[in-house]
Amino acid sequence: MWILLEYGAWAISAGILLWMLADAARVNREFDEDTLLSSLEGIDELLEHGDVPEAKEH
Amino acid sequence: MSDQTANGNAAGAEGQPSERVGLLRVLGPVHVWALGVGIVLVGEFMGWNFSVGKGGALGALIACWVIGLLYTCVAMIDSEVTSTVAAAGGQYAQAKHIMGPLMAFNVGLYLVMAYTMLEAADALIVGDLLIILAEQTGYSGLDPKPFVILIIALLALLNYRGVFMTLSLNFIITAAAFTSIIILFVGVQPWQPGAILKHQDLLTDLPYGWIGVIAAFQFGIWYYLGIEGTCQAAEEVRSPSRSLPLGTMTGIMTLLIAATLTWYICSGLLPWEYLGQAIVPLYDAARMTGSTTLQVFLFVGTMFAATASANGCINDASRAWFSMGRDRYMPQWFGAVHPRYRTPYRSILFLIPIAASFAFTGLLDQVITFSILSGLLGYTFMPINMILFRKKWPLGTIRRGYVHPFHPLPAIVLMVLCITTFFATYLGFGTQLLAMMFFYVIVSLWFSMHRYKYVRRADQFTMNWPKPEGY
Repeated sequence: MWILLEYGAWAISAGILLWMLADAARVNREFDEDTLLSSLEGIDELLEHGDVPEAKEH
Repeated sequence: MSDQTANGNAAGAEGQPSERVGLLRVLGPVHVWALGVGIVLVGEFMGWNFSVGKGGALGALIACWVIGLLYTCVAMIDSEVTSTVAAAGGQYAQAKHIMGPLMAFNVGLYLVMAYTMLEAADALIVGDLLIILAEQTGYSGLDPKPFVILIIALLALLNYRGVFMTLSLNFIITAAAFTSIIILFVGVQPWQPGAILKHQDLLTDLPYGWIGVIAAFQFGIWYYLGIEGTCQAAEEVRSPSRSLPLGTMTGIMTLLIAATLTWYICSGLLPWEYLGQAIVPLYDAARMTGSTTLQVFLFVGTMFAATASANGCINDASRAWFSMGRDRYMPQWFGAVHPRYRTPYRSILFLIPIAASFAFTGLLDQVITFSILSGLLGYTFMPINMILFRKKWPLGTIRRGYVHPFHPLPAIVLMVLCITTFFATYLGFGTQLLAMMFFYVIVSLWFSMHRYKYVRRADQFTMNWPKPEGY
């Protein structure tokens, strides 16, 4: 049984990795690079808008 | 805004995309807790016990609490700084805004190396556990490699397809692993000292004196290594200024409790000479009780803890690498976000073969040592960062979601403990420590002389802060 599990693990791993590579290739093809690289470093909207009270030193 | 959806080819005028694809803000404090504790909890199931081999059982308890103090300082400092720097990359983004590009580059690499190597070590642990299981079912000679690559591939897939499911799963398996420790604690009947737990017979004086206690510090790190990883979720939590401090502080409290319970159970069931070199001490402690149910719980708990740790490490390493790519500290290609799953998919894919090749070496102790050393370098940066942060932006100049008390005491304590732990590490792994330092000096030279010219020097500073004091 363990030998079968070993082969099964190799096969599933290969399938997963191939799927991710194929999906990444599809995304790279369907979307232009500017869009894929368009993320901006996040800001905390709640803090920016003052909805969170500023913490005080204890 | 960064959380709008992209619909196909969306390039706008002058090459600027009309819609941005960013990481999704979908996480809450529970996910932050699951990320931090999930990465760390495996250290309760194995690794910490090498501190017993260095300093005896009582020396290991001292290391547990002193290093616990170190990490409490880390959690407090991180909570304050990251409540203002709500960006993926965690300490990398902090260093970029507060200390400068060379420090940021180094901190980013510390993070990627620490988490990728820890992920490899976790996968190795899963493989070792399956070898134990196979042997107990009568099959010897199991090859762990297919299972090591399977766990890396499965968790990478989970991370690839979205952060919410990734960290929701981490919450479930981390909570289950923590519960297994609680169940074992109840199972050894701590209210009846001497019935199952034999502390009176097993606890000895310090076998190697106080130098042994100092030497134990490096393995005390296993109890808590990775709690600082909560910061990597900063760009994906709904309210970083609230969720990150809450998740991080509850995380360190959970770990202090888990670490103390772990020490108490194991030191009451196993003699220090055995405990100091055991591979899976909590599982061994469960076996000592003679209860099959407790053994099963602890086996599953160990497996879950290793899986949760690897899962969190993939999340954190990919965010650090992604944010370095976005700022062009590394090739910008890595700064891409998947338009459907909203994950840094190229960074996740890129780090898979690196983690797998570390794991395939099979050198668990070496891999984890390099992970610890990278982590330790990161902790040494934190007190300097904190002092500069308060100096450049004193209280009242920018909004903080959390302000840690007694500044600068935690920063000073953290620095002293880091120096002590470096000394302890030098005692046991001097060559590796020097090799690691040499590596970071070489890559720093590469960054300064070659890579820095590609960095987005102005665009990288995104926080809406006033000019720092004195500038």
